[in-house]
Amino acid sequence: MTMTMPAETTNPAAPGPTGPAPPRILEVRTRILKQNDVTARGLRDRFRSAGVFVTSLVSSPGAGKTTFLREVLRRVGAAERVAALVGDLATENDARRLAESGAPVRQIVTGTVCHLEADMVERALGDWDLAALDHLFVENVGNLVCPASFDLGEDLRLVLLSTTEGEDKPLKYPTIFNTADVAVVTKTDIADAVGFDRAAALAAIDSVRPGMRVFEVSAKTGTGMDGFLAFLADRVAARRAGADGVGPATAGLEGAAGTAAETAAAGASRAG
Amino acid sequence: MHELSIAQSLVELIEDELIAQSAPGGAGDAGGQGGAPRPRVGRVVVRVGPLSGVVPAALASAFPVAAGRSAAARGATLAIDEAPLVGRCPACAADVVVPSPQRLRCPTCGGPTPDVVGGRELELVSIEVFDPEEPSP
Repeated sequence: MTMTMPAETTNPAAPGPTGPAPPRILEVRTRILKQNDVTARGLRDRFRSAGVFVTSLVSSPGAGKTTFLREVLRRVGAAERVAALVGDLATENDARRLAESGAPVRQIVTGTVCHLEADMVERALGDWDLAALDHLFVENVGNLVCPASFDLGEDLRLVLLSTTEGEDKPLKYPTIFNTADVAVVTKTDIADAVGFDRAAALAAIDSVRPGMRVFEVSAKTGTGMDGFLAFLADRVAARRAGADGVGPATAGLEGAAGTAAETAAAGASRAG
Repeated sequence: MHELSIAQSLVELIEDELIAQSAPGGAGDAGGQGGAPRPRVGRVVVRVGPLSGVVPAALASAFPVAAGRSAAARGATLAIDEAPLVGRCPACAADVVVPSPQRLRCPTCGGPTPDVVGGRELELVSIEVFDPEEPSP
């Protein structure tokens, strides 16, 4: 069904007396995920004006996102207003587990889509009153590949790595580690039992994202949770003071590569 | 495997660009499906960095599928320009090409390059367009 037609071939559809016109080259230079970027930017503006701090979580399936997040919701929710969105290919089980914390939770069932996109977050938020929240957490689909490309408008992106996974996971999936702000090593309570090589894991993280902050936690025993929560509180305070950056690396590139080029391209197409 | 959805976004972007380009007194109504001859798309150039989250080979296989579903982009071919990974080395005070995303270290001094200044690109660079022949007056 796809017609292969090399660029050199003349246009057979219209053999005019003057011959076929030579091709034009449209210079575009636009982010392919422009639509997602635009939606994510809208979300980010909405989150900021509502004063809600948005943290997203990515990891492989089974790394402990839901258990970690349930514990975060429970602890942060004791003093602040928290809510969560959780993405999965199927089932609402994670939403139910997270709701055990007492926080309002909405499930995003993605069907066949292996990651969350900004418009899924936007739809799931619906008419939620964001101004009534201090924190919103967004748990992505368990996947270390696809979520890397999609900005969700979040302020902070966490990547989780459990002690039961290979210490070289960061080396296998450098992009997702590189687009995250902070790494969380989970299930430290069973690290010894599973022979977790802590030094190797930390070295792998530092190799793909030099200087990345790493928190080592056990949601089950509570070890390390206070340190993470103190960090989160600092980030929220910095955001309120207007002192932090613009969110995860996928958001940064929009400003670095996208905006100027898009403006130039838009100007050029109007002129042409 | 999200390259098909990336390829679909790419095809939508191509359609948008063609509409934007043909709007002012161009060859026919941009929204029209039938009748008016439409420009044909040839070679589409994209730029993909090693930290874009997209595997070039997977995007190359997905593109004809997405393009085949589009009247405007059917038959288009994809050329992928692979962008280098560029890190900023604080020790050398220079931007350096980092050979591997698995090791963000300066190839000159071996020090860490925490800031990535190139390599996240996922851009539509250009579209080759064959305009339909003007009908004889």
